[in-house]
Amino acid sequence: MDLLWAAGVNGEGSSVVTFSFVEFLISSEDVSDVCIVYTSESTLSAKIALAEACNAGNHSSRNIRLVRLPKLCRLYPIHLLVKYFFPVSLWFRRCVVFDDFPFRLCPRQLLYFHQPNLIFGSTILWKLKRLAFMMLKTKRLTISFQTFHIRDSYVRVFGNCKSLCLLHQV
Amino acid sequence: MNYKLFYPASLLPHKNHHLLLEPKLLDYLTVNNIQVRLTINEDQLLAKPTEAVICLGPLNHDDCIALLRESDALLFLSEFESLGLPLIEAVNARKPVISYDLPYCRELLGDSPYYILYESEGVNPICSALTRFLLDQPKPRQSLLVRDTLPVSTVWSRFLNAI
Repeated sequence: MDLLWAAGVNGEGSSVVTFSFVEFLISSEDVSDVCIVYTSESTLSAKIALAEACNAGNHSSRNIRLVRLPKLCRLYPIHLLVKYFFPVSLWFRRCVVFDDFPFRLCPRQLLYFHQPNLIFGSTILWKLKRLAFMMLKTKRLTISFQTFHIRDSYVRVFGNCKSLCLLHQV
Repeated sequence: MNYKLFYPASLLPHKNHHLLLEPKLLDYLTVNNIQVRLTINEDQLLAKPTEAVICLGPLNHDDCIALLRESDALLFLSEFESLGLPLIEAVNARKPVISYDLPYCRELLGDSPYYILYESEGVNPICSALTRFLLDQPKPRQSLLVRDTLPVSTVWSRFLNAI
């Protein structure tokens, strides 16, 4: 089973982008064996609830599992602890992460990078988050960027990585 | 107000909402009958809202699109973005974009005259870009983004193939 992890996604823009994938997975007949993780009381959660109502039961036969975690999991300390210690590869074959920080213990993983503050943020808080990001990223991590300029900026700050640069419809 | 500009952004330092409170820009907007609509709450603005700058509070995506469609242009004052979703939405809605001349904007919109760019920070370049907007009234063009957008299904497959 593959994992789509979006537990930390809550902003309007990031929810729109992430939801385009969730909606595709829920509604597409060609996709199966995916677990989608998000948190309650988030912008993304509201969008998923609506999509689920429209596709009621359609995805259950295709083994698309929706897992809603408590909103507490969006708190950065908890979020980062999960990312540091959770052994994703014990349960999942591959993982796609939409909420800024990769899992440390997941060799087959793609991070969808859409948080420019991790590169440009100049406050203490963002510097700490940048440090946390450096601790979590591994050499095997693949990163998907939406634009070439953000990929180049990433490389300047964090060094080279395996990457894709894809701009998709929303 | 004759012209309505829309700036959909949360109140974050790099989004530069504070520029809209500069007296010179406020005067310019008022004199030229321009109204800027923001998606933040009034109490976040830290100044008394005027007719030139109004706060609509956070809006959902559908409401943002609807408001963009009834606006005359997108105003986008952000210093950095990973994508800049409102730029794509503005182009899709065939609305002019008034924005910094920064890489994120260039990569999506190229050199298209569909939008007006101002090149340095501060209020004066914004005023001159707005003057150009008022004088030129750029017409909608058929050509959209510089880069092609892929269907989500294609991108998902590429994600899984890449790991």
